[in-house]
Amino acid sequence: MNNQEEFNKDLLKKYLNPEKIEMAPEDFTEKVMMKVRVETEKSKPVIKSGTKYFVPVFSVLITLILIAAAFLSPSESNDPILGHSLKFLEYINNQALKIRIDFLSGIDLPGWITYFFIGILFFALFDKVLHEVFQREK
Amino acid sequence: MDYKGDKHYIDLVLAGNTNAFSFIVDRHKDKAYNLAFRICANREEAEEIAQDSFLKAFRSLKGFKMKSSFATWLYRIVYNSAISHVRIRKRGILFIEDFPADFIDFTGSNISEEESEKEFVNSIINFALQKISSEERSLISLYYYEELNIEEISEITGMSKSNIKVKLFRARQRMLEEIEKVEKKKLIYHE
Repeated sequence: MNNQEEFNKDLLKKYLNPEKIEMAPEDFTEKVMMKVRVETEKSKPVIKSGTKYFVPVFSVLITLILIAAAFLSPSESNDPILGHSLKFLEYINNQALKIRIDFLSGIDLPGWITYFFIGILFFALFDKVLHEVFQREK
Repeated sequence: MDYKGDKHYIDLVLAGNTNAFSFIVDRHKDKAYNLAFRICANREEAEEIAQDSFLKAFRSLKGFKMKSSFATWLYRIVYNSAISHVRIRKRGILFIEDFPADFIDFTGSNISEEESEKEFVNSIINFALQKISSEERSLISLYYYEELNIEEISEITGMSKSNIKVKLFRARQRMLEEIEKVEKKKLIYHE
């Protein structure tokens, strides 16, 4: 770099320096922050408060009813409601067995297979509930 | 209130305190706006570009690895936004209302001689800035107004150091030629 270029550089430095910068408008920060807040609001996941806990609460309720029923039901109950409920469950159980036998007639399956399939169904429901809960919290 | 450094406020923002970003904006707004203005040469557009650049910075704050200073990183966003804006607009020239386009006699107004001289110098500098390209203006702005060194400018613009030196040299030459022309006009005007 020759002397002339050095001189030119210094000469411009006299006129162009940080003191002479164009200042941003006064409300600049407010405008940016408004955009930032809109951006932040947009990125928040929309959760329907009423339905957020519906699935887990429903699931827990059903489980509690079943547990309570298992504890409270005597072997031979005189309670009409409980008696009918037990009869209904027995009926479902019989129907399920019948269906299984109809579908798989001629195949000798062990007795525990019914409970195995019911277990899978329960696990599927449990998995679905967990999925719903953790999916919403992401 | 004392500014506690970019990192402090960046950490607060990343921790979920969105309002801490306003300290960062306040700190860097003038230089970001000035850079955008020098490149696109229009106040409304410069404001829009600078605001959007801050918003882009906010969105990408998680990805900012502190390898360079926050200012350098922000200027890179402003520079890229402004340059692509000018390229889309395809307008290299400046608006006359933004920069007084020619020598203006300030001596007739009610300001002091010193003030009028300052105004005159500003007007010829702005006039000279009109005569160079938006890319050259950005380099001039980064070098003189932001007082960045060639290495930092290279980081922001993506140009090689030697290329920046050559472009700055040419920009200076052209600006000084224009300033000389205006100075001659001023002499003729006063004669």
